[in-house]
Amino acid sequence: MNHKGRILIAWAGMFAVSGCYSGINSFGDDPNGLGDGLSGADGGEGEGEGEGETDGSDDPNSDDPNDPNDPGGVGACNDVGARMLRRLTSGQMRRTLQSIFADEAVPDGQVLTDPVVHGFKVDAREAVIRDLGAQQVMQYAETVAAWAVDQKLGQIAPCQSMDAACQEQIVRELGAKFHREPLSDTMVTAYQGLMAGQETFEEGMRQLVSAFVQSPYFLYRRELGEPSGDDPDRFQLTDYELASNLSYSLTGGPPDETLLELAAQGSLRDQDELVAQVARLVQSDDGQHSLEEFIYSWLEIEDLPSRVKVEVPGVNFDEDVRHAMLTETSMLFRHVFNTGGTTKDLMLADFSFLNQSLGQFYKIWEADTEDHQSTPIPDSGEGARAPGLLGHGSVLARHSLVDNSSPVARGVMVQRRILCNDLPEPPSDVDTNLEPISEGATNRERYEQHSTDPNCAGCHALIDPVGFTFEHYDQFGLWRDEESGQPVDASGALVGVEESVDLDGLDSLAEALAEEPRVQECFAHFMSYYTYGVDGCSGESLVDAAGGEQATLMSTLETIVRSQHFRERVMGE
Amino acid sequence: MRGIGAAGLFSPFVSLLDPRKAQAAVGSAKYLMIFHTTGTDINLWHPAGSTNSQISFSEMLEPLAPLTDSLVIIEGLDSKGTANNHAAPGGLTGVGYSSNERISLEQFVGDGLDAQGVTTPFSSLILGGESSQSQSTFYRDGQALSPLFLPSTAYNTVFGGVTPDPGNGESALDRLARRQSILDVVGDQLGALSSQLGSEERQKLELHTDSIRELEERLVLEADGGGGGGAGCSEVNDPSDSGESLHNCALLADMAATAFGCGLTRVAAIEFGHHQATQIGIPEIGPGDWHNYLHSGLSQNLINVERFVGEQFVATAQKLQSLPSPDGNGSIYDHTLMIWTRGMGDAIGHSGTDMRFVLAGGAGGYLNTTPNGRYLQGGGQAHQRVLFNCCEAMGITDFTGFGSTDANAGAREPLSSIGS
Repeated sequence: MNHKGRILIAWAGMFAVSGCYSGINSFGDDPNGLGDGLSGADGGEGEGEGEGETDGSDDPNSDDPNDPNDPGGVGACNDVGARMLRRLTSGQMRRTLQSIFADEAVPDGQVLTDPVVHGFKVDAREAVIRDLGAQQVMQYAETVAAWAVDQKLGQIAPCQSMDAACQEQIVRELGAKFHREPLSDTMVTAYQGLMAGQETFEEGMRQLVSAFVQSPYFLYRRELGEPSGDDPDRFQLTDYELASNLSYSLTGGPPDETLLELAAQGSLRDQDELVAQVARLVQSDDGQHSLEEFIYSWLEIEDLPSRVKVEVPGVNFDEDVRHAMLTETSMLFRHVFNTGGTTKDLMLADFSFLNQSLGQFYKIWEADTEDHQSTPIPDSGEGARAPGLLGHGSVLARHSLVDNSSPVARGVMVQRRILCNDLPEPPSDVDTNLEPISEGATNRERYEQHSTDPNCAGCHALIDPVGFTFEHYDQFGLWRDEESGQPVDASGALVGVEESVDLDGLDSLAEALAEEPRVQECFAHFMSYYTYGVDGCSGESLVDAAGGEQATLMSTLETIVRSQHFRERVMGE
Repeated sequence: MRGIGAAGLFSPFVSLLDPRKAQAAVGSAKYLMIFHTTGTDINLWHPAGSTNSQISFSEMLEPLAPLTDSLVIIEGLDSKGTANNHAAPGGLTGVGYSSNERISLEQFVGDGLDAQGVTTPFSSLILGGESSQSQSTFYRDGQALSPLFLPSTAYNTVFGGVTPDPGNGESALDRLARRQSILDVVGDQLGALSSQLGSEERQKLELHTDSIRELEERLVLEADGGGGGGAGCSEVNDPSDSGESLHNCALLADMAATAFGCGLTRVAAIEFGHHQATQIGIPEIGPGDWHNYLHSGLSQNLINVERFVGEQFVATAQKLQSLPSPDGNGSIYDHTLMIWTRGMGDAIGHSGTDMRFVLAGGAGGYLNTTPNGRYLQGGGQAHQRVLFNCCEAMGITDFTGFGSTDANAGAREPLSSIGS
């Protein structure tokens, strides 16, 4: 047995499935089943499944941002979380510095650790600076400051003298980039004091840049807001906060000039303007990179290049192939996202994006190019593969063992990541060693002991029937007709959903998932977590608001941005 | 129930483990070195034929043989439901998820030494692990802590940290003043932000503020000429990061020993691998996934990886043996308690009812050893009692705030048979 999926968390938005044991003893003695220690991970902000009823206009275009009685949004995630700070991720920090200095060669530093939560590295609660963190930030700040003064002085200092006017100009201009909003006079005075205490201009600049990098206004995104309307406990995010929120969530980097100008004009509180910016940012290179990061995390495939596989003669599963597999998945996901596609399209795409090495690996297509190109996927004959994301080598090879496929790993992946179903870890005191494969036995026969062992049967009745449908694909994601000299049996069922569906093979699973509303909801749920950094948003209400069955990936993201959660806060506990 | 656990109930050594009646003897160990891994195959680990005056090493344990005369190994302890599955937090804390006050051994001992007036730049170091996985081994105030994952990061933080030579002729006091002036501004900004938050979010900034305060203490210590360059301070090996996390851990363990020698810390913990996903490309071990070794019947691979950790345990011990104690009294090893702890017991069964430890080191004379090693059967006693032994060895006998206070967790006392 091999549970490749992440430790399961009973977080809001996950579906509890019946028939599986209820987690008794499955997470130590954790009565809440919070297996990864996320004490607040199930909605500490008062968010919860089932909230977000439409209590205002259904027409997003009718919102008046100046009307405090208008709840805004379109019925999803309109519960308002606590005022909070979100520490930049390590990638966001680097991207911000690259933007400030307009140079990708900013010194590298492993300064911030990004906790992995729900498979993503964006968690707002877990990302903190503690213990040795301040020291690491200080050291890095000094390195960046020395580099900046040595390499970028002319660029960051429009004047170069120790007089107060020059210092103030530098502090205000450079500070606005680090803080991502204009500095208050108090702040300017404090920073100027640091510069003034140094003997030379260069030393003053080193001191200033070091302070900027260590500033919490650089290290944290603010979601504080300011009082708005009649309710003194409600805070409307400022335009600059919205600009940062939008930019970091959608592009992984700081707000660009356009966003900052809109913020300065006070335009971002206009929801239509906000959503117009979503389209612009998603289409940018950084926006596309952010989508790639999302799909790698959602499907938990990012570490494919480092997954160990036992070598098999004739199978060239090298670094090029592994990276090509990831690129294939990224490109298909982004293509569907960018062209108004839906989760159904993710499941049923009969084309993909292959380059020479991956085309050869799949035995589909040979061309003398390293660029990935849109290619039809044959449904029969040489190179035939299942459609959509689940037929990608990235998913199949990542969710496998080192020397064989894994119906359990694949079944768990579908249940947890595609359907958002709640599956606990195996109970204590169950011997999870599988019987060694006897000669001539298939992988399926080996795993079928689950269905007979009462300790395992509950959960594996939900996992294995789904996982068995992948059995035509080996540990490299390559098609096989036989295993251990016997014809592959890929029959199974989609279970853990409203109405179970009997299946035979991965094509039939893809078709069943394409029709399953829970896939849309699960995507929406993960996308809302990726955007907000906190979970608790109901996927169902998001999909309803984004167009129901017609909801596209893009309309779902727009709904997430339109939601009140994106722009309002309360003080919180 | 699996074979070994049942045998433990009838072990002749159970009587050795009666709760300590007399006043606990305070140990005089000065250093604590912790190795941490996930659970194992208890049958393969079990040193059959061992007694309380001799260890008969299993193949898995055999690399530990060079330390025999300072070795105590114990199995058959019960985590009392706190370390019985993936991500269960009890291994180093003794408490499960029902408590929000988890603190792991290295943090508690670090605090205890601070309270005793031991001033080192780092009260403890946590190293190793897997950055791509969720963390569930080290804790403070119930929150999981992230180790320094990579050798390069650890090197920069621990050795290059507060004492780099800026090369500009700036005096230590001037540098201190310059850094403190920035930290003052940062502190004011944190205060301003904090006042706008509810209490839950404020805690996040309090951690940041505490981190700055601890940094300032280190800076002051450094400016005063303290906090480094101990009698056994030696060059650190090449801190280049490897793509193999276990190789990184080996380097980190070596670095931790050097940090002891340099007087930078007294407490270090290295987490080898991760309970859920540790990819291993080292030919003599795998290749494979540690987790798969456990659940796919890959016994030889599991033996190999356990032997690898055992070899690093010995290498670290030998490094400590080569470092002179600052007081001129023997080596640092003579004053160190080394311990190999686990986050689970029987990992194949995802069970915490059969926990095991390897203890070694001079430990200031704390460990009750024999020339041929010492093997003990825990008889189902709470595993946290061995964690209390570790505290006691370090001269810490007030266990308030550490481990479980649940009556079902058993006595809140060290095991009597481990200390001499």
